[in-house]
Amino acid sequence: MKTKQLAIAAAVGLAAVFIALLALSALKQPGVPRTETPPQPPQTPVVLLGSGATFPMEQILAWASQVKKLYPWLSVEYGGGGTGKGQSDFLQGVVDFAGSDVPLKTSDWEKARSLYGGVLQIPMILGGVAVVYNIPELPPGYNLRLTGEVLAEILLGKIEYWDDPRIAELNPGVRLPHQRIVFVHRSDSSGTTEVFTTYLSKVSSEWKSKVGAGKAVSWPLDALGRGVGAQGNPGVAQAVKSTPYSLGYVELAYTKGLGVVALRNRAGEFVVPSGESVMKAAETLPSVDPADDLSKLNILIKLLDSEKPGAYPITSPSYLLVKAPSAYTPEKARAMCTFLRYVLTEGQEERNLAEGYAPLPKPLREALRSALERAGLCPPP
Amino acid sequence: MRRRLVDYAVHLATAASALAILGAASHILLSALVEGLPVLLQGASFLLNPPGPPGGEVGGVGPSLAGTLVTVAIATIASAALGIPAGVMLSEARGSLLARVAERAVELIAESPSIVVGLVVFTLLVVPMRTPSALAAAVSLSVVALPYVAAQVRESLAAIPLVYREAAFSLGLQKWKTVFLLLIPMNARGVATAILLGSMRALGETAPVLFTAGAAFQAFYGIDKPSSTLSLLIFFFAGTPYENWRRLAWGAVLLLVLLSMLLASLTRRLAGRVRM
Amino acid sequence: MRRSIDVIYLGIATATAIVIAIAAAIVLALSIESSGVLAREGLGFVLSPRWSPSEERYGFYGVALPLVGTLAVGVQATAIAVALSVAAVVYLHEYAPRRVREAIGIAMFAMAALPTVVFGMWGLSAVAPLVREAGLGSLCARGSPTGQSVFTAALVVGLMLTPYASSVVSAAYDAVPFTYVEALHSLGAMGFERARVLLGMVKRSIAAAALLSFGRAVGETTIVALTIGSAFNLPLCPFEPAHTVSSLIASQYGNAFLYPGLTSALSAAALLLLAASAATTALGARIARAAVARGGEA
Repeated sequence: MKTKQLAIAAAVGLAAVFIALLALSALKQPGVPRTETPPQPPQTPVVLLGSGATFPMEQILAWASQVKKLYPWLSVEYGGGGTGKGQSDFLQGVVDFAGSDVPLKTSDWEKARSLYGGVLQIPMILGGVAVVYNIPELPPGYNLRLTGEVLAEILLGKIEYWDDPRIAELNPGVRLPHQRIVFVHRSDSSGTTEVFTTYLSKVSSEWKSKVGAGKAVSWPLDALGRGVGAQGNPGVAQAVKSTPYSLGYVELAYTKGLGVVALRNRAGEFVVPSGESVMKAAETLPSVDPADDLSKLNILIKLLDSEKPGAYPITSPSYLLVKAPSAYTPEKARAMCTFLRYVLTEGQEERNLAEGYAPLPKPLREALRSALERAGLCPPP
Repeated sequence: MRRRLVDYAVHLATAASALAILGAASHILLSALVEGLPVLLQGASFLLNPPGPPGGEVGGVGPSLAGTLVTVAIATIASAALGIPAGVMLSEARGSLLARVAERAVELIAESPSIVVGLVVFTLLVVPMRTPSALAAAVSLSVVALPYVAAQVRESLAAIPLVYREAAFSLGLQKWKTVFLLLIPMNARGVATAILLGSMRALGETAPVLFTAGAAFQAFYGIDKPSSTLSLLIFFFAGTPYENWRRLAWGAVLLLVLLSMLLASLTRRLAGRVRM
Repeated sequence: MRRSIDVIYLGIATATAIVIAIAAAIVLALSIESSGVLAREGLGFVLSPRWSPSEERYGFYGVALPLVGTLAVGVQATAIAVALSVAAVVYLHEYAPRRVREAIGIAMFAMAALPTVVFGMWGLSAVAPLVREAGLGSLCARGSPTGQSVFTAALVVGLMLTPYASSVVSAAYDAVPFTYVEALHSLGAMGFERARVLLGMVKRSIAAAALLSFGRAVGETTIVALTIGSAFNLPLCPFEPAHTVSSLIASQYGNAFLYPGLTSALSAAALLLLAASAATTALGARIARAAVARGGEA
């Protein structure tokens, strides 16, 4: 009897919650108290849905909540899923924008152009691919030293144990355990993977011929039983964190709680990835026109394995793929313009950046902003 | 003597299995309780707020809960609207061509892996609509729940003895009027059970909504817009390295378990046994 | 009078027709999508272990490895579910005191009500670390370093299936006419002897439960996606990671559009899965119906 009354009470309670939530959803935008808002005309609520790279995901989510405070009518939702998913969704037209760590390849770029009348590939942020590890014996503040060549040898399967002399000689101050190296890679189609494997191809000709670069590759360690796949940057980070003696690669923002490798750059220094070391590498970032076929510019190759002092070797910009303004409804085009303008101005300021990301060089931001106006996405001020 | 030993051994082995089942069930429920209760006890904020940023405050599951409630409600209504008449057809017109084809059709849908249903709805609904949506998710869930509703209605109607139908016919009532004026009211319990079973299936499924609902966790934007459900939230947040997101996922687990148990208890009260 | 009947019948028939249309839509949509890769590769699709999507050209897709994984998980999960169910039914009917029977009953009920994603999350956070820490991976050539493996997936799926399987077996066990049970008791048969006889009488139902469980295990996605380790591996040893067809679809469908042929390959894999599921479940259902009709006799 008592359980019956409890069940009825619970059902009524649930129904009440349901009705309340339906009412809320009918209003569509639960109000958020505004702190300092620039004066603006009242806007219909707009949702911009994006998916794609998990490399910039933390930053995009941070920007989304910042933008929400300034423009309560603008909601940006980002679902992640990997660069491959983002480009895929973008070409199928089921998202408004995509996050991508690498530009569209030429055939897809042309496909997008014919679908939408144009596509903009806008660099939004700079990040680095950190090589992370989980070796319980190493002291917490220590950064394991590796070179690109040694890293490639590990991943080709030629170095099996952590205490191999080739690793030990780079790290004279510590004792490495005699344990097999387990490698965690991405199981989904990933721009982070493409950046990482492009770096490996650049520093190791053997890697280039045996494996190559791409969003998804056949990792030699999988066949040897020492490789596992995880979903997204968060998945790899979690897998490395919970698997002793493992090695992985993640965007710099996902390195919390993990050991981070100090990778040797072409100037001979062992550099730990950070906002600063990423920015040093990106000083060479050429100016780009987002309406161009960026895959032809080989931007990535120019940034990788930098010889600039203090520069981190695996640095890469991340892009927002946006349709030509005519492909959006006027409200969405306006929303897109508002979001992109924020991203390229206040979004690049240090206080608005999430940890582990570096801003675009100032001249590039200016160039991109005027490119937006040229493309007709944003009306000139 | 030997017999006694063997009996004792079997007793032990089977008891161990039963204990294993009991242990597993308890561990799952206890984990959900221990990890999820602190989050749930935050009260209204858990039920209404969106998730916090990665690595920040815990926040809540409000939008996903709304998504779950909306999609489950639509799926229940849709699967009942189609499943009840279909179940009636399967039971009362058994042997006719339509019923025989329908029987195979219901079996096929029941055997379809739920991810396949999501895939088909993605191709047929999400791509033309150019957006994932709560509606698409609800459609997927309706398809998954449909066979259970139809089968339950068919079974409970078939259980009513032929005598009642004969009596009605001898009194001059036509066949289909009999069904609706007599059999279904007699079998209100069975029909209610069927509807609840449909609900339960819809509540617990993740795969059908994976490609159809979208991944909008910050707010509920409307039926034709991207959305999320509690099960999606759990699926996405569980494997992340952010402590607050993992705690949120556990809170969602506990909430989902509570909702499920509620539906299951109601079903049991009506049907006497939960038939899966 | 006539008109109202027609209306009711029309309503019912329309609903039925829509249901049939839904089933047809599923098969049709999958078949159309699959035609591309099946025309190119034919039987090679089923037999080849090579799965290499390519962004540049039409890749080569062979689902042999995920098929083996699906079979491995299906067989192992069914074995676990049937073993646990039969043991539990025997225990509950022949040995258990009333209190324990109630407790197990509640546990089974609770498990039957749990959504699969809850099982999956538990598998990821509780079972996989256990498998890893127990060092079970080292028993295999390519043992899983994270604890996610065929065995982990099979264990959790098996647990998920147990309440249903045991309800089928339990119902059949109960349905045996009491005269037999009486006879056994009067002969002085002990617990295990009674169980042996009665189980023999419900053999058909156990087989049905096994087949129905297998059908569901083969189609299970959420639990497997979280616990199997998503690797293109031939899992000859259960503690290695692998893929099943459904985990393959779950992990690759999102970016399928970028790789020519991948959507077609995944749809073909889905069609295969559907056929396998349908075949085993139909077989199981047929056996179950025959068993019920015979009153639970062997």
